Amino acid sequence: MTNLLEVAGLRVTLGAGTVLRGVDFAIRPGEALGLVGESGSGKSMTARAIGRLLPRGARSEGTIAFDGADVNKLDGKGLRSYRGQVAMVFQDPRAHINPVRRIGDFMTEALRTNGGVRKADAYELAAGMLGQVGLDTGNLAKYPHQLSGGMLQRVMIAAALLTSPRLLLADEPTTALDVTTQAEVMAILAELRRDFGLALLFITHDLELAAAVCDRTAVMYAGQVVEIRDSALLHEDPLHPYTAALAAARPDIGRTQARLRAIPGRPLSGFEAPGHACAFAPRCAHDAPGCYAELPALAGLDGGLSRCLRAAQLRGTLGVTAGA
Amino acid sequence: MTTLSFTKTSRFTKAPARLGKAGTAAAVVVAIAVFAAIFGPWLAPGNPDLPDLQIAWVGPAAGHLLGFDFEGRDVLSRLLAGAQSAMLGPLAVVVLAMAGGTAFALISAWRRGATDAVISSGMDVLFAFPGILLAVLAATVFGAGLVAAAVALSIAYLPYVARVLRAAALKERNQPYVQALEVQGASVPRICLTHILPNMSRMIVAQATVLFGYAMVDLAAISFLGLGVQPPAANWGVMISENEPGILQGYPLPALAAAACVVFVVIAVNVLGERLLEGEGHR
Amino acid sequence: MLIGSLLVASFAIFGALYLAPGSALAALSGGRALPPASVAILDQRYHLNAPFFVQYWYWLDNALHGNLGISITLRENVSTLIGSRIWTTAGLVLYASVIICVIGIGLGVIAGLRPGWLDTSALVTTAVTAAIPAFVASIVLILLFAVKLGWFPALAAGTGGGFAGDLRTFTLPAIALALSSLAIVARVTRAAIREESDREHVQTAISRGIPPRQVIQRHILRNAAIPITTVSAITVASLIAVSAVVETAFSMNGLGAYLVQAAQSKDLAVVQGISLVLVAAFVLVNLFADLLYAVLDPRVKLGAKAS
Repeated sequence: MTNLLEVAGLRVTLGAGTVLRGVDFAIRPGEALGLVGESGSGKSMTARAIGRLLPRGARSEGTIAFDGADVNKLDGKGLRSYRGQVAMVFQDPRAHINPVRRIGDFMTEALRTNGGVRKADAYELAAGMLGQVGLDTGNLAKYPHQLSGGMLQRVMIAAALLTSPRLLLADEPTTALDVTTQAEVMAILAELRRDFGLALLFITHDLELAAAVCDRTAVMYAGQVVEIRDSALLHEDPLHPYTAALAAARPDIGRTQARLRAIPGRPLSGFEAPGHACAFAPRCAHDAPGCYAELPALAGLDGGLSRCLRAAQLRGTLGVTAGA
Repeated sequence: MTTLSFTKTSRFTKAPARLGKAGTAAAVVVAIAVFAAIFGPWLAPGNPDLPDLQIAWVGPAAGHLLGFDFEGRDVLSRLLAGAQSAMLGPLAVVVLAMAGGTAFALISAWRRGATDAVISSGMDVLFAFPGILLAVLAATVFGAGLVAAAVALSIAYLPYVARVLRAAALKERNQPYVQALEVQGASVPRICLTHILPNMSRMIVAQATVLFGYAMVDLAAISFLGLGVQPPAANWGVMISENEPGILQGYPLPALAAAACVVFVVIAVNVLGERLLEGEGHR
Repeated sequence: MLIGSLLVASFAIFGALYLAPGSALAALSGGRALPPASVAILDQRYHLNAPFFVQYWYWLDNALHGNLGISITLRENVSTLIGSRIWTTAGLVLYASVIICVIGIGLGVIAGLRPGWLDTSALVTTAVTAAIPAFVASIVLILLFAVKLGWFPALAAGTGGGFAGDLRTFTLPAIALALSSLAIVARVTRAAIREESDREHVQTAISRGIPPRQVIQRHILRNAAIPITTVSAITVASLIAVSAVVETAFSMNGLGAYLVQAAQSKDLAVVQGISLVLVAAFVLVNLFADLLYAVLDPRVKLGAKAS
């Protein structure tokens, strides 16, 4: 089965600084990949690069291939068709929906302008999709300010699915919502994925959430992918110290801890990362002199990928269950 | 237990206003205008007030760089003499409007609640009166003249000043150091005058400069209409109106010279004001 | 709220009568000596012997019925005098508004959508014109286009030639009136377009493959219309007062010019009448701006201030 989306050697520079320093991953049709990172790790920028929404003045190298075709070389009709197949769901639904137009207008806009669908048909499709996400069809006539954040996010998801996309890019879709609404929206996403056979790139800062929802999880740090692993193995047998540290830092509701295990220091962004050493080394509990001398490459290990020079050595010692 | 002393400066550190090339040029022009306003009558090469119809409309000649106006008076001298009322009038307007506006803004910001609502509503009503209209009304009732016009304009500008400064005053009033002072028992006037006001001073100066530009234009317009400074007194606005026939008859220089003075000083004041406002983080 | 402003404003206009030094009678007559018969008529008409508020009531009541008193200098009904001149002023303000909206908004939209030399040159031009007060613009325009080039008549006296002729006569004054306001409208338009272009919902539209022209029309322009119409309406309202200056410079027979003449001859009734009309027009335009705002922005309920 060929990959639906392949990102290889993606580097993005913005102005004088490098935001993405090396992003590589692939998504198969129907697969869900989580992309986890802290602020500044470059996860949102990756989504924008895939969606061809990079800000003015940003330059990208490397390839992004969708169904074998280079995304950055698409133009005109090809680009519009691509946008129809790759849908984005954004973090703050209220900011991402035009406040002066009605919901129905928002949902059917792409269908009516690109898909050439007649207005009545488009509204019928939108009404149906609203039902799928658990909303009343009466909402089509309302304005965004009349709906809650959770409802708006569901509208956003419904609208994204109207063009029958094959890949959904979800950029922190639940971060702006409260926990109960979060759970509802995630449930809807999972259900729709199954129904429509969608592939999903799920971007979040929450390692647990990604692992729970996605088949595989990729972890980013300072503009690079540092680990890709089956979600089931991520906790017990992570391949990179950063992943282990992230997992360990989360307070466990079932245990009493004397002290939160925060990672010392602060997360680096792509701008600040050194070019010839491991970016995480200064904060790493397992650092060695060699880590400061060369930039590690993403290498395979036990079915996953890790950007750690000492990955093979540290195998088995990084998991949460192994203690820290 | 030690008593905490709070510094006067607010938490927001402000960068010094950068004048830049345009700003410095503007400042120079304004300085020249001020200089002319103070020393103008003494610097004038000729007599600004003595009419001599024989040489009316005569063009530039030796010792009379800008020629003569419709009554044969030396234009350059008249411009220099006119600088006085052209600069003093707006100054008076600005002083009055800023004083009144600041007072209202402080009271509004301090009391908040009902007092604030009443003052704000009052200001909104006053907004409905354009400055020129108020000046016309004043001229009708009190007779035409610079004083009536200046007072009318200051009243018309009050709501604008009050509204802008109210926002700044509110920001200061909500700072923790003010609450600390209140708790320590400092009196309201003292807090306002010795603490809040100085922290607003840069904003006040910036607004005053912008207001000066508006006042200058409005006062010149009012004098142009014949309701401000009265001829034969020298004033740039008056000069434009009394020399307007010259434009139609082929002697545009006197009117244009006066107009140029107004425009250049107004541009300079506006540029200066904008530079100062930028230092306050405004656009 | 705006009606309240109007009421208070009318009260102030009326009250000006009493601010004047000397008696109300002296103010009404403009300091002229009057024969007893005229005094009696004035007494009766203005109810000068009644208490202040009663007088105000009579005046306001009369005003609302179209009776604004008599001009002391021309001995005619103020309402008639206003009526014959109002179309000149209205036409001038309308013409200037069209210029401001078309050129100001047009320049702003272009500058906002396409950064580059057009953008900078538009900014610079408008900054320069902003500094030119209406009366200066008037004389410069007269000099350039009327005297030197002869394209337009210099003064408005003797207008004939129907609509086209009127258009020609009103063009220079309208430009003079519009010039200084062009800058702020263009600047606000440009800022609004820039701001809307950077908004997230525009990103959403792009991400769904909506063609650029639709994105600009349905999202950027449509949303930017809110601040643009607000500033345009406020600017138009401000034209009402400045029209007096332009009318005087071009010797036009409009309300503004007449107001100035009446002020000079201390014809209080006329001044009050015209002031009332001008303030009412100002309030009405602002009311219209609020209404437009509520129509364009569904988040705002009618009655809220457009600010």
